[in-house]
Amino acid sequence: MADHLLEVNDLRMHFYTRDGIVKAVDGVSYTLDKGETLGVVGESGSGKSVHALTMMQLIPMPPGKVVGGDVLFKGRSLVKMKDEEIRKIRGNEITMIFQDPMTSLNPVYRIGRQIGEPLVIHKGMSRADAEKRAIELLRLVGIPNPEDRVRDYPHQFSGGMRQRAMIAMALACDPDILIADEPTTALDVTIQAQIIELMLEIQKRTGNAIIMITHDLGVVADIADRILVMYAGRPVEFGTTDEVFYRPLHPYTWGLMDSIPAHDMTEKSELCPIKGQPPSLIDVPAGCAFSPRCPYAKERCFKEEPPFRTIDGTHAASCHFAGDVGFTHAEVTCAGVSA
Amino acid sequence: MSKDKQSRESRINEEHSVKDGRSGMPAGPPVSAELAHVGHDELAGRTLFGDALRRLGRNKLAVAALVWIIIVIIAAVTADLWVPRFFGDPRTINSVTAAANRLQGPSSHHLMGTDELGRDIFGRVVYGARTSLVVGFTAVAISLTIGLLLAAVAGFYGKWLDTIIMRITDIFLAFPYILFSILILAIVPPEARGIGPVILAIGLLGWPTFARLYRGSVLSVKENDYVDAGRALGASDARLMFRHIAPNAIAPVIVYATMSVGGAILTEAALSFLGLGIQPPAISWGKMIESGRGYLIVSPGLVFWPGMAILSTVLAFTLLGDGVRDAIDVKMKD
Amino acid sequence: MFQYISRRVLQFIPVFLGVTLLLFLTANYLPGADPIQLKMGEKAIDPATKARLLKNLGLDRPWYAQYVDYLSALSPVHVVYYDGTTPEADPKVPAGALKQTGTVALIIPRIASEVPPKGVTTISPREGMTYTRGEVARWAIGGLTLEFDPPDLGTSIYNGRKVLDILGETYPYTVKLALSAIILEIIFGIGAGIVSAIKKNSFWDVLVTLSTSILVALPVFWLGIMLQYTFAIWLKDATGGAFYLPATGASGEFADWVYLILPSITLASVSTAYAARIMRSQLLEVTGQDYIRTAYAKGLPARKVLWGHAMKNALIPVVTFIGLDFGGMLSGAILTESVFNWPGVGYTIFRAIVGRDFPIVYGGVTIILFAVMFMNLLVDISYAFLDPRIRFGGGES
Repeated sequence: MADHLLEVNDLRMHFYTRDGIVKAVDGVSYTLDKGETLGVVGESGSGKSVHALTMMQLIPMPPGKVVGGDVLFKGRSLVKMKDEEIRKIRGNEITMIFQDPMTSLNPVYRIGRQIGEPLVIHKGMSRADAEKRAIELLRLVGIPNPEDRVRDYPHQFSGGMRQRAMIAMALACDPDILIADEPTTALDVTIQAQIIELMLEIQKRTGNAIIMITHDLGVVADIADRILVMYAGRPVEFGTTDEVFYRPLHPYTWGLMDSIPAHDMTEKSELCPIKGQPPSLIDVPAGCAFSPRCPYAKERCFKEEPPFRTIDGTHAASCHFAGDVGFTHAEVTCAGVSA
Repeated sequence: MSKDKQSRESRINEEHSVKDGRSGMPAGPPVSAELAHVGHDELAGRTLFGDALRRLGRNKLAVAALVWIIIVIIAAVTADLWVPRFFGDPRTINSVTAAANRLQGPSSHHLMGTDELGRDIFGRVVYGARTSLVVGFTAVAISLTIGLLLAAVAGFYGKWLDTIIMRITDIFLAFPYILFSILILAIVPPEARGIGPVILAIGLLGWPTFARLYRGSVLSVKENDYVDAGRALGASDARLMFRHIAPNAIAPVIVYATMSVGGAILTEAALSFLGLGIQPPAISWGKMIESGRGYLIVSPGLVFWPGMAILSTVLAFTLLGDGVRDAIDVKMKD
Repeated sequence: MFQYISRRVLQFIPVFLGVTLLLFLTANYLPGADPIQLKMGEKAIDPATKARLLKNLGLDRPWYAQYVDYLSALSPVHVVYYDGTTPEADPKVPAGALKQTGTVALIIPRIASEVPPKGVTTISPREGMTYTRGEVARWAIGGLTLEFDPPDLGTSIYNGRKVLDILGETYPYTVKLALSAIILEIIFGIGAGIVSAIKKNSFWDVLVTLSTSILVALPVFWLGIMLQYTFAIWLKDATGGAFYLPATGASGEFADWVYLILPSITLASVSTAYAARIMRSQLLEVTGQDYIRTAYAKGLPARKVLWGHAMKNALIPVVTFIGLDFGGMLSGAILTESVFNWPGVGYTIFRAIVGRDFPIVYGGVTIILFAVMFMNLLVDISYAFLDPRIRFGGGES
């Protein structure tokens, strides 16, 4: 088992707030191998970003607290690491890029300095050398005239260029894993595709693994090797992209598929959004967290929390009925399913 | 002076928030925005006002401040009924006993001792509260009225009238408040000085911050979706202004007005200390400090007690203002 | 950046005109104010003399003309055009005074008060008006002359000296006091703000928050007197005269800087409280920003994130506040200096209020006001150097 690059095992991280315990990450498990791309999909509040921040120890503790589980990176536990040790991994072996490139770069430092900073910290480079390397990195991510732009401030870059700069910064130390937290959500549609393409291209060249966190199933469909679907801080379904797309096991995944607008949509076919709201993470419903919104829910679903179990080789899901014969994605009409 | 600084402070925060638009966020560690919706359902179904009142009630410091303000008000209003009876009339000099009673230390009959003319200091502090409260409340009422009226006119007629009014506001804001009131009151001949000119000076100079605050607030409320929604539903301009915009925009003004009462009390004390404000025999805390200065070595209580009265009252208004802000600021609700 | 600076300077012009107009209107048209009495003292003046004075001082002219006169008196630069004709002999000009051949002034020359100082000649755009010629420097091209001389703030009623001279002697004391107060403000305000932001909700944070609330509610003059009592009277008593601080004045008993201690603490009190609050709120706000998370994600140690990435952003508004506050301190100095008899502009104004020497009050207020406005402009401009978003223009609004 230890030959996985990253192994997340039943990770649980809760926030202790005045209003109660927020179970932000509640039992997430998956594995990631070298050079692989994992898509983590979920609505806002599903814990998809928080779980990544948790393993990087970027959640302030308190109010956050890891209450269970573990994350093994090359066999070493990330969550148990001391501050000094995890710092050597952050920005070096595992790097992150964030949703909003407008606010993720420091407005008072030059681009070059910010990109070069990981090299100064982790590789012991001088500022000047790091800046030279920053020029190459900027060229790598497709910024024209990098020799000039390296001395610019973030506000002089457009949104797409800033996200490219963020990627350059994340690539500076040749990381093993690049975690991209909704990297395209804040960008124009045309720029979105460019950024995704850039990340894949670089992956081909350097062989790094990517964890792509997104709310958009469509984004990961083309690029991910595996997909993890999350709901209310819990894993819902995990499998290869083919498995999740062609043989989805969980009613929530079915719901997500139904709510993607198809390219060939005719006037007749309607969008079927999932009804209801995601639950409050303080007051997660008893039993299956999705049960109140699940059109297939039976009595058992409201009482018993389904375990996250392997159904078929690499394909896992947390539904009592997943894999049962006859429990399949029905042709749902938007009026709902009479179970 | 503190008013100048308050407006400078708010100017900085304002400028800053204009730049990044995030000042309202409770600052804290980088918790994911995903948590934002947690626990909001419980707020549904309550009125904003009741909610604010409940929050204010939970703030112990603000409640204590409110209680203190009420005590000071009651003491000042009822002073005639009990102060002369128990402590001797502190407004007049009793020529028979003045010499014997002067500069006494605290005793059961004179809780804070007596001043250089044999008058009871505690009694004078209580009467001084009258002056301070009257100046504080009326001056702020004047500033508030002028400020809101101008902001409303500017906002309603917009365009060039708005520009002119806001330019004039800028000019008044560039003039340090204390400096302007000193100048105005120095022109008034000494025999005409007193509570009236002080109220007018403070009141007539305090409006720019209110005008600016209210206008800014109206503009930001106007941006809200519910105003668009109201407009889409066909609400008239007047209805939008008075039902939707005005009540929501008034919150920061209420907070600032509460704190301003304290600011006005401080200014009155400073002006009276400089000899430009309340003139004897009228009683003012600032004037008491000024005339007590000469007896600092023998009887520091002459200066100490009126200063404590100013400090506690002004502090109470500041804390109450803080409490009100925390209570009504929707952004700050967690 | 150039665009930003020139826009700020242009915006400054109407504010300057507005403020001076306000100043002018207050002194001349406030109900109950008698400009002659204010300028010449409170002597009973017979109607004939009054009419003559009104005319000589140009006070019978419409308000806008008087306002231009007033601005001209304040201006250190005048444009004058001498047309070469010889003025008629004027008995009012003392013998030996320089005579200028000229009659026309392009910018209305300043109006001097009744007694003409030396080096004065009469040129006659208006009868009976005297004009103080450039005493510092002149620069002529043909008949057109630029004349430089110090602004005219009038003369003291009490001793007839020029207000500008009186204030010029006292100004260094006020600047010295304000500078030492600023130093205290920077050290203790910024320091306390940082401590309370880093250790949010700790004992220190509560202490800082509470004491800033109290400092803001303190009457400054009372704080000053209480400090005098504690450190000059009580401490002297308690230590049997062995250790204490001077309450007022500079009698040479202590080193010069010792006299600054109590006044500068008093003057700094309110500002320090505000600086601490702003520092705290800015730092807390900045540490919640996304780019701080980015800095952590890079593997920077917390120490470097705080003192580099966070502080550089958080300090910009704090520095701005302290800059603006320097102007505020000058006006706050009136109270502090009055308490400590500190021989600065504030104390001079205070004594003039008591002594009904209005020209000094007016001149002092004017000078402080100009310093405040100038400081504000300077801070606005320096903002451009502090913040790269302005320095390099562009960016989204």
